[in-house]
Amino acid sequence: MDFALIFLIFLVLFFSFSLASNDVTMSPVIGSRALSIKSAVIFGGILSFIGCYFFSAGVGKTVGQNLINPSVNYDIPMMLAVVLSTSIWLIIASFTGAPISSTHSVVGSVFGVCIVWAIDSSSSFLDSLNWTVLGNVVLNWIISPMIAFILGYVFQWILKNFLKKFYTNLLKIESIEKFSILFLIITVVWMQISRSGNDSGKVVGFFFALTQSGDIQSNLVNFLIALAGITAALGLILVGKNVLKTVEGSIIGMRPTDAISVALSITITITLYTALGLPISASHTVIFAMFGASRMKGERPEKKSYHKMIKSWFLTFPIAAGLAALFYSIFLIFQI
Amino acid sequence: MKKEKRNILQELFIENANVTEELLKSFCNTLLSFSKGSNELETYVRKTIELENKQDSIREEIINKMFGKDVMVFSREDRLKIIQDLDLIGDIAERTARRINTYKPKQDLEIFNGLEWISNKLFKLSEELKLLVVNIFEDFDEAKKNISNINLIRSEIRDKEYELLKRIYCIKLELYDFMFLNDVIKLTASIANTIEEFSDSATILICKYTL
Repeated sequence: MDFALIFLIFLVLFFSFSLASNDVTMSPVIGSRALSIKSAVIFGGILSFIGCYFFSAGVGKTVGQNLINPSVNYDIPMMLAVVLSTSIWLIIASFTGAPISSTHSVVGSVFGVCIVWAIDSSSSFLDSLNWTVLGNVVLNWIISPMIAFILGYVFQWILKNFLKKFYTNLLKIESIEKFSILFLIITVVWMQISRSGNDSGKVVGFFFALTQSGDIQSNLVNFLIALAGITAALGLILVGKNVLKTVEGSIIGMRPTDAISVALSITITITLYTALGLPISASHTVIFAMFGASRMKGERPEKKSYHKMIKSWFLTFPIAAGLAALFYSIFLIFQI
Repeated sequence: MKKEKRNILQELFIENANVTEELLKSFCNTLLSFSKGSNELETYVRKTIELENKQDSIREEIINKMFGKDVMVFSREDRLKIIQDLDLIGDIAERTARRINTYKPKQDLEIFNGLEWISNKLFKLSEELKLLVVNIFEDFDEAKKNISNINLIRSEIRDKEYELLKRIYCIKLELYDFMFLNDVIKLTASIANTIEEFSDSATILICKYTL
């Protein structure tokens, strides 16, 4: 194995670690006091590993193999450019507080390196990508938040109308909410596994790409996926608790029943797309599920934050593409 | 309707409400004894003070348990508000009982009958208060009725308060008698006002926790 390959694998594993360190999937069980932060991150770490190891392959193959045409030699410098641009854009966006999509970032980066590849190899850019797959992926970036919004609205409506007649005194409310904690934990377990499966697909995609380019043997893929799962678990356990502590303050006192409608809509949306092998933005799914549930209660999102989010959503793809193109160009110039 | 099982913390809340009712009734007996010139005044004052101390110790126990494992679903702030409000009612009743025991003014039939009337109303108010606390846990619809009754009784007490205040200004009382009766009337009415404020908080609580 040469140095560049080892460096790429290390960077990809670090990417897996950093993705998981910003994962707030377990926040509903902390906010409703179902679990402590310590228990939640350890439990979440185990679930992240399960999601990554068993459920990331479908999305991984879409991102790592099916998106790019076989005519393109998707080599190590290209992958390095994609990982670097995604990671850097994630860090920049985190500093500004904008919730961006790592999925949009990865796919945008792949788009960017393909443009440079086409110029460098004097080939047609149109032949570099599988436009059907890309079109499908981009279309579902628009459809998936809409599905999450609708599901969030519907579940909140069902829960509200079903529970109304039972909320007649504090004792009853308490026993219903306590029972709901169990259901919430089950839902969040499912959510963590499916989100981890979909998120890790972006990481695992690199390993599938490396097998396609012949840089690694296919029998190594499972081992690398397991390593990615372990680094994801560590990311959540070691660093993720700090993010969850920050989020905890804003969601403390959340009723389990409120959290369930949101968690269910997120889980169903992400599970559906993970099963279809399509990478979606978990962040946008979470946000739009919460919008749907809030809208049902007659609440509207704060305009400034909403516009900031939409702006960063549209900017991610071109900026990631631009950064990846820049890095790949540098690698080509210096023949890395 | 199937009755839900209460846990230890909820039982403490109900016990606090029971002790508050007992305290208020003891205060009512203090006021009645004062109005009738009875020898049992000291006894009832002592009993009121003891019950206020008991209320304080239950409050401390609730606060300790609130930060333990046995925690209710509704927020700590709301739980604290309930016990602080009940504690305030008890404090005013205890202070008023002590005040009543400091001086013996000249008898005025109208004023003392008025105080007796207020005492009887406070008796009913203490029962409604206890029921309100219980019904917050067991039946919101009944709690709304308790709130309505509390508002009504408090309004009647307020009218009587101003009637008595007018009286003490109109008749030429000696300075100490005037100061004393002014304090007793206002402090007694403030118990009813504080109970009514608690019922307002209960309304907000019910709105907050129903869907």
